[in-house]
Amino acid sequence: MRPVHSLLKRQLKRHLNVEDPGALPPEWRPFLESINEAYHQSDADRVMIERSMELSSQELLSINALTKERERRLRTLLENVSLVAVGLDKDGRVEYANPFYLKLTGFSEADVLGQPWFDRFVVGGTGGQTHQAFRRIMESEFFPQYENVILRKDGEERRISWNTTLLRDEKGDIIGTLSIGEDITDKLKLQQQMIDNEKARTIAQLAGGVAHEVKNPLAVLLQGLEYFIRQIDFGDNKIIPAILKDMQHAVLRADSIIKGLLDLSRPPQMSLKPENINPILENSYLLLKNNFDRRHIRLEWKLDPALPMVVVDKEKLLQVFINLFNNASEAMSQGGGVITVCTSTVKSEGGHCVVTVIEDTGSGIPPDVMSRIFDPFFTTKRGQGGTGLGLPIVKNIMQLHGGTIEIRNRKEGGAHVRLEFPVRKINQMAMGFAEQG
Amino acid sequence: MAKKKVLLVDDEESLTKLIKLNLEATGQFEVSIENRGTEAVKAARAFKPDIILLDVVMPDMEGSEVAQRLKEDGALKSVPIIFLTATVTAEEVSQAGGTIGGEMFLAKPVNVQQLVDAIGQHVH
Ligand SMILES: Nc1ncnc2c1ncn2[C@@H]1O[C@H](COP(=O)(O)OP(=O)(O)OP(=O)(O)O)[C@@H](O)[C@H]1O
Ligand SMILES: [Mg+2]
Repeated sequence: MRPVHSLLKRQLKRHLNVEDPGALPPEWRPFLESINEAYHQSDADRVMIERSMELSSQELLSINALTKERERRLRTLLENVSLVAVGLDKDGRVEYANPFYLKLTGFSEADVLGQPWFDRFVVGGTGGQTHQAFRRIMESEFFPQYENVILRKDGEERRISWNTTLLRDEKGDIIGTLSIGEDITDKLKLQQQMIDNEKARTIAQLAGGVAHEVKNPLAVLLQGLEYFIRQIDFGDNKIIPAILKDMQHAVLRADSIIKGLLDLSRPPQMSLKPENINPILENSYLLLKNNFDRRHIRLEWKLDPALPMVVVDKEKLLQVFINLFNNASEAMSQGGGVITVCTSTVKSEGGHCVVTVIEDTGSGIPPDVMSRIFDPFFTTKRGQGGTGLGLPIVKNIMQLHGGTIEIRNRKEGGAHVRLEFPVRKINQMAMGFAEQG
Repeated sequence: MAKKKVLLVDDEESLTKLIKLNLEATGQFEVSIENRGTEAVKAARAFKPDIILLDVVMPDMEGSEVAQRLKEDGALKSVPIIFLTATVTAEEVSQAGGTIGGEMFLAKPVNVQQLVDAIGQHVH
Protein backbone atom coordinates (compact mmCIF):
# COMPACT_ATOMS: atom_id res chain seq x y z
CA MET A 1 0.00 0.00 0.00
CA ARG A 2 1.03 3.57 -0.71
CA PRO A 3 2.04 5.73 2.21
CA VAL A 4 -0.93 7.21 3.99
CA HIS A 5 -1.81 10.53 2.40
CA SER A 6 -1.34 13.46 4.75
CA LEU A 7 -4.97 14.56 4.35
CA LEU A 8 -6.25 11.05 5.29
CA LYS A 9 -3.96 11.04 8.31
CA ARG A 10 -5.32 14.35 9.45
CA GLN A 11 -8.91 13.22 9.09
CA LEU A 12 -8.32 9.89 10.97
CA LYS A 13 -6.84 11.87 13.79
CA ARG A 14 -9.60 14.45 13.91
CA HIS A 15 -12.63 12.12 13.61
CA LEU A 16 -11.44 8.78 15.12
CA ASN A 17 -8.50 9.94 17.19
CA VAL A 18 -6.09 7.35 15.78
CA GLU A 19 -2.50 8.02 14.65
CA ASP A 20 -1.92 4.69 12.96
CA PRO A 21 -4.54 3.23 10.57
CA GLY A 22 -3.15 -0.22 11.42
CA ALA A 23 -4.88 0.16 14.79
CA LEU A 24 -8.29 0.17 13.10
CA PRO A 25 -10.39 -2.95 12.50
CA PRO A 26 -9.06 -4.99 9.54
CA GLU A 27 -12.44 -4.99 7.69
CA TRP A 28 -11.96 -1.16 7.22
CA ARG A 29 -8.74 -1.62 5.36
CA PRO A 30 -9.97 -1.90 1.72
CA PHE A 31 -12.16 1.15 2.30
CA LEU A 32 -9.25 3.19 3.74
CA GLU A 33 -6.97 2.09 0.92
CA SER A 34 -9.31 3.21 -1.81
CA ILE A 35 -9.76 6.59 -0.07
CA ASN A 36 -6.00 6.91 0.24
CA GLU A 37 -5.69 6.01 -3.48
CA ALA A 38 -8.27 8.65 -4.39
CA TYR A 39 -6.34 11.35 -2.50
CA HIS A 40 -3.13 10.45 -4.26
CA GLN A 41 -4.88 10.32 -7.61
CA SER A 42 -6.38 13.77 -7.15
CA ASP A 43 -2.94 15.06 -6.23
CA ALA A 44 -1.55 13.72 -9.47
CA ASP A 45 -4.43 15.20 -11.46
CA ARG A 46 -3.91 18.59 -9.88
CA VAL A 47 -0.23 18.58 -10.73
CA MET A 48 -1.05 17.67 -14.28
CA ILE A 49 -3.65 20.37 -14.63
CA GLU A 50 -1.34 22.91 -13.13
CA ARG A 51 1.45 21.89 -15.46
CA SER A 52 -0.64 22.06 -18.53
CA MET A 53 -2.06 25.40 -17.50
CA GLU A 54 1.40 26.71 -16.99
CA LEU A 55 2.44 25.40 -20.36
CA SER A 56 -0.48 26.88 -22.25
CA SER A 57 -0.06 30.25 -20.69
CA GLN A 58 3.57 30.25 -21.77
CA GLU A 59 2.48 29.31 -25.25
CA LEU A 60 -0.14 32.03 -25.25
CA LEU A 61 2.48 34.52 -24.25
CA SER A 62 4.80 33.49 -27.04
CA ILE A 63 2.01 33.47 -29.62
CA ASN A 64 1.08 36.92 -28.51
CA ALA A 65 4.69 38.03 -28.86
CA LEU A 66 4.77 36.52 -32.31
CA THR A 67 1.68 38.37 -33.40
CA LYS A 68 3.06 41.57 -32.04
CA GLU A 69 6.30 40.99 -33.89
CA ARG A 70 4.43 40.26 -37.11
CA GLU A 71 2.35 43.37 -36.67
CA ARG A 72 5.45 45.40 -35.97
CA ARG A 73 7.13 44.11 -39.10
CA LEU A 74 4.09 44.76 -41.26
CA ARG A 75 3.88 48.24 -39.86
CA THR A 76 7.58 48.95 -40.47
CA LEU A 77 7.08 47.71 -43.99
CA LEU A 78 4.07 49.93 -44.56
CA GLU A 79 5.84 52.89 -42.99
CA ASN A 80 8.92 52.57 -45.15
CA VAL A 81 7.88 51.30 -48.58
CA SER A 82 7.58 53.59 -51.58
CA LEU A 83 4.06 52.34 -51.97
CA VAL A 84 0.83 53.93 -50.90
CA ALA A 85 -0.97 52.04 -48.14
CA VAL A 86 -4.45 52.93 -46.97
CA GLY A 87 -6.67 51.10 -44.52
CA LEU A 88 -10.42 51.64 -44.62
CA ASP A 89 -13.13 50.58 -42.22
CA LYS A 90 -16.33 48.88 -43.34
CA ASP A 91 -17.90 52.21 -44.30
CA GLY A 92 -14.95 53.35 -46.36
CA ARG A 93 -13.53 55.73 -43.76
CA VAL A 94 -9.76 56.08 -43.49
CA GLU A 95 -8.34 54.18 -40.52
CA TYR A 96 -4.74 54.13 -41.62
CA ALA A 97 -2.62 56.00 -44.14
CA ASN A 98 1.08 55.33 -44.44
CA PRO A 99 3.80 58.03 -44.53
CA PHE A 100 4.38 57.53 -48.25
CA TYR A 101 0.75 58.35 -48.95
CA LEU A 102 0.99 61.44 -46.76
CA LYS A 103 4.18 62.55 -48.48
CA LEU A 104 2.78 61.94 -51.95
CA THR A 105 -0.42 63.82 -51.34
CA GLY A 106 0.71 66.53 -48.96
CA PHE A 107 -2.06 65.66 -46.48
CA SER A 108 -1.38 65.28 -42.78
CA GLU A 109 -2.68 62.31 -40.78
CA ALA A 110 -5.24 64.61 -39.19
CA ASP A 111 -6.51 65.58 -42.65
CA VAL A 112 -7.34 62.00 -43.58
CA LEU A 113 -8.05 59.84 -40.52
CA GLY A 114 -11.74 59.17 -40.06
CA GLN A 115 -12.60 60.87 -43.34
CA PRO A 116 -14.73 59.22 -46.03
CA TRP A 117 -12.05 58.02 -48.48
CA PHE A 118 -14.07 57.91 -51.68
CA ASP A 119 -15.81 61.24 -51.11
CA ARG A 120 -12.73 63.20 -50.26
CA PHE A 121 -9.66 61.66 -51.83
CA VAL A 122 -10.65 59.79 -54.97
CA VAL A 123 -11.50 61.28 -58.36
CA GLY A 124 -14.97 60.08 -59.27
CA GLY A 125 -15.93 60.02 -55.57
CA THR A 126 -18.70 58.04 -53.93
CA GLY A 127 -20.56 55.95 -56.46
CA GLY A 128 -17.56 56.15 -58.76
CA GLN A 129 -15.95 53.07 -60.21
CA THR A 130 -13.52 52.58 -57.36
CA HIS A 131 -16.21 52.91 -54.76
CA GLN A 132 -18.10 50.18 -56.53
CA ALA A 133 -14.98 48.03 -56.56
CA PHE A 134 -14.71 48.56 -52.80
CA ARG A 135 -18.29 47.45 -52.31
CA ARG A 136 -17.67 44.39 -54.45
CA ILE A 137 -14.67 43.52 -52.33
CA MET A 138 -16.68 43.88 -49.13
CA GLU A 139 -19.64 41.90 -50.42
CA SER A 140 -18.17 39.12 -52.45
CA GLU A 141 -14.71 38.92 -50.93
CA PHE A 142 -13.32 39.14 -54.41
CA PHE A 143 -10.03 41.02 -54.63
CA PRO A 144 -9.69 42.72 -57.97
CA GLN A 145 -6.59 44.62 -58.82
CA TYR A 146 -7.70 48.03 -60.01
CA GLU A 147 -6.51 51.52 -60.83
CA ASN A 148 -7.92 54.83 -59.80
CA VAL A 149 -6.94 58.45 -59.57
CA ILE A 150 -6.39 60.02 -56.18
CA LEU A 151 -6.19 63.70 -55.35
CA ARG A 152 -3.31 65.51 -53.77
CA LYS A 153 -3.93 68.31 -51.34
CA ASP A 154 -3.03 70.83 -54.08
CA GLY A 155 -5.58 69.25 -56.41
CA GLU A 156 -3.08 67.44 -58.60
CA GLU A 157 -4.10 63.96 -59.66
CA ARG A 158 -2.03 60.78 -59.30
CA ARG A 159 -2.94 57.45 -60.86
CA ILE A 160 -2.53 54.49 -58.50
CA SER A 161 -2.59 50.78 -59.19
CA TRP A 162 -4.09 49.08 -56.12
CA ASN A 163 -4.02 45.64 -54.51
CA THR A 164 -6.60 45.19 -51.80
CA THR A 165 -7.07 42.65 -49.06
CA LEU A 166 -9.84 42.19 -46.49
CA LEU A 167 -9.23 42.72 -42.79
CA ARG A 168 -11.09 40.50 -40.27
CA ASP A 169 -11.46 40.48 -36.52
CA GLU A 170 -10.81 37.41 -34.27
CA LYS A 171 -14.25 36.06 -34.97
CA GLY A 172 -13.53 36.19 -38.69
CA ASP A 173 -15.92 39.03 -39.40
CA ILE A 174 -14.87 41.56 -42.03
CA ILE A 175 -13.90 44.87 -40.48
CA GLY A 176 -12.40 46.71 -43.42
CA THR A 177 -9.78 46.66 -46.14
CA LEU A 178 -6.09 47.32 -46.48
CA SER A 179 -4.94 48.51 -49.91
CA ILE A 180 -1.42 48.85 -51.17
CA GLY A 181 -0.87 50.82 -54.33
CA GLU A 182 1.83 51.90 -56.72
CA ASP A 183 1.93 55.45 -58.08
CA ILE A 184 2.04 54.79 -61.82
CA THR A 185 1.51 58.40 -62.95
CA ASP A 186 5.07 58.96 -64.13
CA LYS A 187 5.35 55.52 -65.68
CA LEU A 188 2.24 56.21 -67.74
CA LYS A 189 3.52 59.64 -68.71
CA LEU A 190 6.74 58.09 -69.93
CA GLN A 191 4.82 55.49 -71.89
CA GLN A 192 2.66 58.21 -73.41
CA GLN A 193 5.78 60.15 -74.32
CA MET A 194 7.24 57.13 -76.03
CA ILE A 195 4.01 56.63 -77.95
CA ASP A 196 4.05 60.32 -78.88
CA ASN A 197 7.64 60.13 -80.09
CA GLU A 198 6.82 57.08 -82.13
CA LYS A 199 3.83 58.89 -83.60
CA ALA A 200 5.95 61.92 -84.41
CA ARG A 201 8.48 59.76 -86.21
CA THR A 202 5.79 58.07 -88.24
CA ILE A 203 4.29 61.42 -89.15
CA ALA A 204 7.68 62.74 -90.23
CA GLN A 205 8.17 59.74 -92.49
CA LEU A 206 4.68 60.02 -93.88
CA ALA A 207 4.90 63.75 -94.36
CA GLY A 208 7.80 63.65 -96.79
CA GLY A 209 6.17 60.94 -98.87
CA VAL A 210 2.71 62.49 -98.85
CA ALA A 211 4.09 65.94 -99.64
CA HIS A 212 5.83 64.69 -102.73
CA GLU A 213 2.92 62.60 -103.95
CA VAL A 214 0.33 65.28 -103.34
CA LYS A 215 2.18 68.44 -104.24
CA ASN A 216 2.91 67.35 -107.79
CA PRO A 217 -0.75 66.81 -108.67
CA LEU A 218 -1.53 70.10 -106.91
CA ALA A 219 1.10 71.81 -109.03
CA VAL A 220 -0.52 70.38 -112.18
CA LEU A 221 -3.93 71.63 -111.05
CA LEU A 222 -2.61 75.07 -110.23
CA GLN A 223 -0.78 75.47 -113.50
CA GLY A 224 -3.79 74.22 -115.46
CA LEU A 225 -6.18 76.57 -113.70
CA GLU A 226 -3.83 79.44 -114.21
CA TYR A 227 -3.64 78.66 -117.90
CA PHE A 228 -7.43 78.85 -118.19
CA ILE A 229 -7.65 82.04 -116.20
CA ARG A 230 -4.88 83.80 -118.10
CA GLN A 231 -5.44 82.57 -121.60
CA ILE A 232 -9.14 82.15 -122.11
CA ASP A 233 -11.47 85.03 -122.76
CA PHE A 234 -14.73 84.21 -121.04
CA GLY A 235 -16.47 87.30 -122.35
CA ASP A 236 -19.53 88.13 -120.27
CA ASN A 237 -19.51 84.81 -118.51
CA LYS A 238 -18.84 85.58 -114.85
CA ILE A 239 -19.57 82.09 -113.59
CA ILE A 240 -16.63 80.24 -115.12
CA PRO A 241 -13.92 82.60 -113.82
CA ALA A 242 -15.53 82.44 -110.36
CA ILE A 243 -15.49 78.65 -110.44
CA LEU A 244 -11.86 78.66 -111.53
CA LYS A 245 -10.96 80.99 -108.67
CA ASP A 246 -12.74 78.70 -106.21
CA MET A 247 -10.81 75.76 -107.59
CA GLN A 248 -7.57 77.68 -107.20
CA HIS A 249 -8.42 78.37 -103.56
CA ALA A 250 -9.23 74.73 -102.96
CA VAL A 251 -5.83 73.74 -104.32
CA LEU A 252 -4.09 76.28 -102.10
CA ARG A 253 -6.00 74.99 -99.11
CA ALA A 254 -4.90 71.45 -99.80
CA ASP A 255 -1.38 72.78 -100.13
CA SER A 256 -1.60 74.47 -96.75
CA ILE A 257 -2.60 71.16 -95.15
CA ILE A 258 0.51 69.57 -96.58
CA LYS A 259 2.47 72.53 -95.28
CA GLY A 260 1.08 71.96 -91.79
CA LEU A 261 2.02 68.33 -92.01
CA LEU A 262 5.56 69.20 -93.08
CA ASP A 263 5.82 71.77 -90.28
CA LEU A 264 4.81 69.11 -87.82
CA SER A 265 7.45 66.73 -89.05
CA ARG A 266 10.33 69.18 -89.10
CA PRO A 267 13.19 68.65 -86.71
CA PRO A 268 12.93 71.46 -84.22
CA GLN A 269 14.98 74.52 -85.01
CA MET A 270 14.54 76.47 -81.87
CA SER A 271 15.85 79.87 -81.13
CA LEU A 272 15.64 79.93 -77.35
CA LYS A 273 15.85 83.11 -75.32
CA PRO A 274 14.72 84.13 -71.85
CA GLU A 275 11.34 85.78 -72.38
CA ASN A 276 8.40 87.06 -70.41
CA ILE A 277 5.30 85.14 -71.45
CA ASN A 278 2.90 88.06 -70.86
CA PRO A 279 3.85 90.24 -73.85
CA ILE A 280 3.94 87.18 -76.12
CA LEU A 281 0.34 86.48 -75.12
CA GLU A 282 -0.64 90.09 -75.77
CA ASN A 283 1.09 90.10 -79.16
CA SER A 284 -0.68 86.91 -80.20
CA TYR A 285 -3.97 88.58 -79.38
CA LEU A 286 -3.08 91.72 -81.34
CA LEU A 287 -2.67 89.60 -84.46
CA LEU A 288 -6.23 88.33 -84.05
CA LYS A 289 -7.87 91.40 -82.54
CA ASN A 290 -9.65 92.67 -85.67
CA ASN A 291 -11.20 89.31 -86.30
CA PHE A 292 -12.17 88.90 -82.63
CA ASP A 293 -13.70 92.38 -82.39
CA ARG A 294 -15.91 91.66 -85.37
CA ARG A 295 -17.13 88.50 -83.69
CA HIS A 296 -17.70 90.09 -80.26
CA ILE A 297 -14.98 88.05 -78.64
CA ARG A 298 -13.48 89.84 -75.67
CA LEU A 299 -10.32 89.01 -73.77
CA GLU A 300 -10.03 89.24 -70.02
CA TRP A 301 -6.45 89.48 -68.79
CA LYS A 302 -5.25 88.21 -65.43
CA LEU A 303 -1.52 88.47 -66.00
CA ASP A 304 0.90 88.17 -63.11
CA PRO A 305 3.14 91.26 -63.37
CA ALA A 306 5.92 89.52 -61.44
CA LEU A 307 6.19 86.56 -63.79
CA PRO A 308 9.71 85.07 -63.97
CA MET A 309 11.37 84.70 -67.38
CA VAL A 310 11.26 81.37 -69.15
CA VAL A 311 13.55 80.13 -71.88
CA VAL A 312 11.42 79.83 -75.01
CA ASP A 313 11.26 80.29 -78.75
CA LYS A 314 9.08 83.39 -79.06
CA GLU A 315 7.90 82.70 -82.61
CA LYS A 316 6.88 79.16 -81.75
CA LEU A 317 5.00 80.37 -78.67
CA LEU A 318 3.14 82.93 -80.76
CA GLN A 319 1.94 80.01 -82.83
CA VAL A 320 0.89 78.10 -79.71
CA PHE A 321 -1.18 80.99 -78.39
CA ILE A 322 -2.69 81.84 -81.78
CA ASN A 323 -3.76 78.21 -82.29
CA LEU A 324 -5.33 78.14 -78.81
CA PHE A 325 -7.04 81.53 -79.19
CA ASN A 326 -8.39 80.40 -82.55
CA ASN A 327 -9.73 77.17 -81.07
CA ALA A 328 -11.39 79.16 -78.26
CA SER A 329 -12.95 81.65 -80.67
CA GLU A 330 -14.09 78.91 -83.04
CA ALA A 331 -15.93 77.26 -80.14
CA MET A 332 -18.03 80.40 -79.55
CA SER A 333 -21.46 80.88 -81.01
CA GLN A 334 -22.57 83.89 -83.09
CA GLY A 335 -23.04 85.96 -79.97
CA GLY A 336 -19.34 85.92 -79.15
CA GLY A 337 -17.90 85.33 -75.71
CA VAL A 338 -15.01 85.83 -73.33
CA ILE A 339 -11.53 84.34 -73.36
CA THR A 340 -9.78 84.59 -70.00
CA VAL A 341 -6.00 84.53 -69.99
CA CYS A 342 -4.27 83.99 -66.68
CA THR A 343 -0.56 83.68 -65.94
CA SER A 344 1.02 82.66 -62.63
CA THR A 345 3.95 80.88 -61.04
CA VAL A 346 3.63 77.61 -59.17
CA LYS A 347 6.09 75.44 -57.31
CA SER A 348 6.74 72.12 -58.98
CA GLU A 349 8.97 69.11 -58.38
CA GLY A 350 12.12 70.47 -59.93
CA GLY A 351 11.68 74.14 -59.06
CA HIS A 352 9.11 76.56 -60.43
CA CYS A 353 6.74 76.57 -63.37
CA VAL A 354 5.13 79.43 -65.23
CA VAL A 355 1.52 78.51 -65.79
CA THR A 356 -0.67 79.97 -68.51
CA VAL A 357 -4.37 79.20 -68.42
CA ILE A 358 -6.64 80.04 -71.35
CA GLU A 359 -10.33 79.59 -70.66
CA ASP A 360 -13.23 80.22 -72.96
CA THR A 361 -16.99 80.46 -72.76
CA GLY A 362 -17.46 78.34 -75.87
CA SER A 363 -19.07 74.97 -76.45
CA GLY A 364 -16.44 72.95 -74.60
CA ILE A 365 -15.11 69.68 -75.96
CA PRO A 366 -17.55 66.80 -76.41
CA PRO A 367 -16.42 64.12 -73.90
CA ASP A 368 -16.36 61.39 -76.53
CA VAL A 369 -13.71 63.19 -78.59
CA MET A 370 -11.62 64.38 -75.64
CA SER A 371 -9.06 61.59 -76.03
CA ARG A 372 -8.48 62.38 -79.69
CA ILE A 373 -8.07 66.15 -79.83
CA PHE A 374 -4.27 65.89 -79.94
CA ASP A 375 -4.30 63.40 -82.81
CA PRO A 376 -3.06 64.85 -86.10
CA PHE A 377 -5.97 65.54 -88.47
CA PHE A 378 -8.59 65.05 -85.81
CA THR A 379 -11.11 67.86 -86.22
CA THR A 380 -14.79 68.45 -85.57
CA LYS A 381 -14.64 71.36 -88.03
CA ARG A 382 -14.22 69.40 -91.21
CA GLY A 383 -15.62 71.41 -94.09
CA GLN A 384 -15.35 74.61 -92.03
CA GLY A 385 -11.65 75.17 -92.43
CA GLY A 386 -10.37 72.86 -89.68
CA THR A 387 -7.34 70.76 -90.54
CA GLY A 388 -6.92 69.14 -87.13
CA LEU A 389 -3.27 70.11 -86.90
CA GLY A 390 -3.65 73.00 -84.44
CA LEU A 391 -3.36 71.06 -81.19
CA PRO A 392 -0.76 68.51 -82.39
CA ILE A 393 1.46 71.44 -83.32
CA VAL A 394 0.82 73.08 -79.94
CA LYS A 395 1.67 69.86 -78.09
CA ASN A 396 4.80 69.41 -80.17
CA ILE A 397 6.01 72.91 -79.35
CA MET A 398 5.23 72.51 -75.65
CA GLN A 399 7.26 69.30 -75.56
CA LEU A 400 10.17 71.03 -77.29
CA HIS A 401 10.13 73.50 -74.39
CA GLY A 402 10.03 70.76 -71.79
CA GLY A 403 6.55 72.01 -70.97
CA THR A 404 3.13 70.39 -70.78
CA ILE A 405 -0.39 71.06 -71.98
CA GLU A 406 -3.63 69.86 -70.43
CA ILE A 407 -7.10 70.48 -71.72
CA ARG A 408 -10.34 69.86 -69.90
CA ASN A 409 -13.84 71.22 -69.81
CA ARG A 410 -14.90 73.78 -67.24
CA LYS A 411 -17.80 72.99 -64.94
CA GLU A 412 -19.42 76.24 -66.07
CA GLY A 413 -19.01 75.23 -69.73
CA GLY A 414 -16.27 76.03 -72.18
CA ALA A 415 -12.74 74.73 -72.35
CA HIS A 416 -9.82 75.14 -69.93
CA VAL A 417 -6.32 74.92 -71.36
CA ARG A 418 -3.37 74.82 -68.99
CA LEU A 419 0.21 75.26 -70.20
CA GLU A 420 3.22 74.77 -67.94
CA PHE A 421 6.70 76.03 -68.72
CA PRO A 422 9.59 75.02 -66.47
CA VAL A 423 11.56 77.96 -65.10
CA ARG A 424 15.14 76.84 -65.54
CA LYS A 425 18.02 78.02 -63.48
CA ILE A 426 20.47 80.40 -65.09
CA ASN A 427 23.16 77.73 -65.55
CA GLN A 428 20.68 75.38 -67.14
CA MET A 429 19.78 78.23 -69.45
CA ALA A 430 23.41 78.64 -70.40
CA MET A 431 23.59 74.95 -71.13
CA GLY A 432 20.49 75.25 -73.28
CA PHE A 433 22.17 77.97 -75.32
CA ALA A 434 25.34 75.95 -75.64
CA GLU A 435 23.29 73.06 -77.05
CA GLN A 436 21.74 75.45 -79.51
CA GLY A 437 25.24 76.30 -80.76
CA MET B 1 14.30 91.39 -126.81
CA ALA B 2 15.33 87.78 -127.29
CA LYS B 3 13.32 85.17 -125.51
CA LYS B 4 14.98 83.55 -122.50
CA LYS B 5 15.59 79.87 -122.99
CA VAL B 6 14.33 77.70 -120.11
CA LEU B 7 15.07 73.98 -119.78
CA LEU B 8 12.48 72.27 -117.60
CA VAL B 9 13.53 68.92 -116.10
CA ASP B 10 10.73 67.14 -114.22
CA ASP B 11 9.32 63.62 -114.43
CA GLU B 12 5.71 64.83 -114.08
CA GLU B 13 4.78 65.11 -117.75
CA SER B 14 1.49 66.92 -117.38
CA LEU B 15 3.13 69.50 -115.12
CA THR B 16 5.96 70.20 -117.57
CA LYS B 17 3.49 70.62 -120.44
CA LEU B 18 1.43 73.13 -118.48
CA ILE B 19 4.40 75.12 -117.21
CA LYS B 20 5.68 75.33 -120.78
CA LEU B 21 2.28 76.55 -121.96
CA ASN B 22 2.06 79.16 -119.22
CA LEU B 23 5.60 80.46 -119.50
CA GLU B 24 5.50 80.67 -123.29
CA ALA B 25 2.16 82.42 -123.12
CA THR B 26 3.85 85.35 -121.38
CA GLY B 27 5.83 85.89 -124.58
CA GLN B 28 9.12 86.10 -122.65
CA PHE B 29 10.33 82.50 -122.77
CA GLU B 30 11.18 79.58 -124.97
CA VAL B 31 10.78 76.37 -122.95
CA SER B 32 12.19 72.92 -123.64
CA ILE B 33 11.07 69.87 -121.66
CA GLU B 34 13.02 66.85 -120.45
CA ASN B 35 11.17 64.26 -118.36
CA ARG B 36 14.14 62.00 -117.57
CA GLY B 37 16.85 63.08 -115.17
CA THR B 38 19.38 60.85 -116.91
CA GLU B 39 18.87 62.71 -120.19
CA ALA B 40 19.08 66.19 -118.69
CA VAL B 41 22.73 66.86 -119.50
CA LYS B 42 22.30 65.77 -123.12
CA ALA B 43 19.18 67.91 -123.45
CA ALA B 44 20.99 70.90 -121.96
CA ARG B 45 23.92 70.54 -124.32
CA ALA B 46 21.57 70.48 -127.28
CA PHE B 47 19.26 73.29 -126.15
CA LYS B 48 21.79 75.65 -124.55
CA PRO B 49 19.37 77.11 -121.99
CA ASP B 50 19.78 80.41 -120.13
CA ILE B 51 18.40 78.76 -117.00
CA ILE B 52 17.39 75.27 -115.87
CA LEU B 53 14.35 74.43 -113.72
CA LEU B 54 15.14 71.10 -112.08
CA ASP B 55 12.86 68.79 -110.07
CA VAL B 56 14.47 67.43 -106.89
CA VAL B 57 12.79 64.03 -106.66
CA MET B 58 12.77 62.03 -109.89
CA PRO B 59 12.60 58.24 -110.20
CA ASP B 60 15.58 57.66 -112.47
CA MET B 61 18.02 60.23 -111.06
CA GLU B 62 17.85 62.65 -108.16
CA GLY B 63 17.85 66.35 -109.04
CA SER B 64 20.97 66.87 -106.94
CA GLU B 65 22.89 64.36 -109.01
CA VAL B 66 21.66 65.89 -112.25
CA ALA B 67 22.88 69.27 -110.98
CA GLN B 68 26.25 67.76 -110.12
CA ARG B 69 26.67 66.50 -113.68
CA LEU B 70 25.55 69.79 -115.17
CA LYS B 71 28.17 71.60 -113.11
CA GLU B 72 30.88 69.20 -114.22
CA ASP B 73 30.16 70.07 -117.83
CA GLY B 74 32.38 72.95 -118.99
CA ALA B 75 29.76 74.46 -121.28
CA LEU B 76 26.92 74.19 -118.77
CA LYS B 77 28.50 74.92 -115.42
CA SER B 78 27.63 78.61 -115.47
CA VAL B 79 23.94 78.04 -116.29
CA PRO B 80 21.87 78.91 -113.20
CA ILE B 81 19.71 76.12 -111.78
CA ILE B 82 16.51 76.58 -109.82
CA PHE B 83 15.36 73.47 -107.95
CA LEU B 84 11.66 72.69 -107.83
CA THR B 85 10.80 70.90 -104.61
CA ALA B 86 7.68 69.34 -103.16
CA THR B 87 9.10 68.51 -99.74
CA VAL B 88 10.13 71.97 -98.62
CA THR B 89 7.44 74.55 -97.96
CA ALA B 90 7.36 77.92 -99.67
CA GLU B 91 7.71 79.56 -96.28
CA GLU B 92 10.85 77.65 -95.45
CA VAL B 93 12.32 78.58 -98.81
CA SER B 94 11.56 82.27 -98.39
CA GLN B 95 12.78 82.25 -94.78
CA ALA B 96 16.04 80.86 -96.07
CA GLY B 97 16.22 83.70 -98.61
CA GLY B 98 15.38 81.47 -101.56
CA THR B 99 18.48 79.36 -101.25
CA ILE B 100 19.23 76.24 -99.24
CA GLY B 101 22.86 75.18 -99.02
CA GLY B 102 23.71 77.74 -101.69
CA GLU B 103 21.12 76.39 -104.14
CA MET B 104 18.04 78.25 -105.35
CA PHE B 105 14.71 76.67 -104.59
CA LEU B 106 11.09 77.09 -105.54
CA ALA B 107 8.45 75.20 -103.59
CA LYS B 108 5.74 73.37 -105.52
CA PRO B 109 3.04 74.22 -106.29
CA VAL B 110 4.31 77.42 -107.91
CA ASN B 111 2.22 79.89 -109.79
CA VAL B 112 3.25 81.51 -113.03
CA GLN B 113 4.21 84.84 -111.50
CA GLN B 114 6.55 83.18 -109.00
CA LEU B 115 8.27 81.33 -111.84
CA VAL B 116 8.62 84.48 -113.93
CA ASP B 117 10.01 86.42 -110.95
CA ALA B 118 12.48 83.71 -110.00
CA ILE B 119 13.78 83.35 -113.54
CA GLY B 120 14.00 87.13 -113.88
CA GLN B 121 16.23 87.29 -110.80
CA HIS B 122 18.86 85.09 -112.38
CA VAL B 123 18.67 85.82 -116.10
CA HIS B 124 18.91 89.37 -117.33
N1 LIG C 1 -11.37 75.63 -76.96
C1 LIG C 1 -12.02 74.60 -77.54
N2 LIG C 1 -13.35 74.44 -77.35
C2 LIG C 1 -14.01 73.40 -77.91
N3 LIG C 1 -13.43 72.45 -78.68
C3 LIG C 1 -12.11 72.54 -78.90
C4 LIG C 1 -11.32 73.61 -78.35
N4 LIG C 1 -10.05 73.41 -78.73
C5 LIG C 1 -10.03 72.30 -79.50
N5 LIG C 1 -11.26 71.77 -79.61
C6 LIG C 1 -11.63 70.53 -80.31
O1 LIG C 1 -10.43 69.86 -80.68
C7 LIG C 1 -10.39 69.62 -82.09
C8 LIG C 1 -8.96 69.65 -82.56
O2 LIG C 1 -8.41 70.96 -82.42
P1 LIG C 1 -7.24 71.41 -83.38
O3 LIG C 1 -6.86 72.79 -83.05
O4 LIG C 1 -6.18 70.37 -83.35
O5 LIG C 1 -7.87 71.32 -84.83
P2 LIG C 1 -8.98 72.29 -85.47
O6 LIG C 1 -9.15 73.52 -84.65
O7 LIG C 1 -10.18 71.46 -85.74
O8 LIG C 1 -8.29 72.63 -86.86
P3 LIG C 1 -7.05 73.66 -87.09
O9 LIG C 1 -6.58 74.13 -85.77
O10 LIG C 1 -6.03 72.82 -87.79
O11 LIG C 1 -7.63 74.71 -87.94
C9 LIG C 1 -11.28 70.70 -82.67
O12 LIG C 1 -11.80 70.31 -83.93
C10 LIG C 1 -12.37 70.82 -81.60
O13 LIG C 1 -13.34 69.82 -81.74
MG1 LIG D 1 -7.47 74.67 -84.09
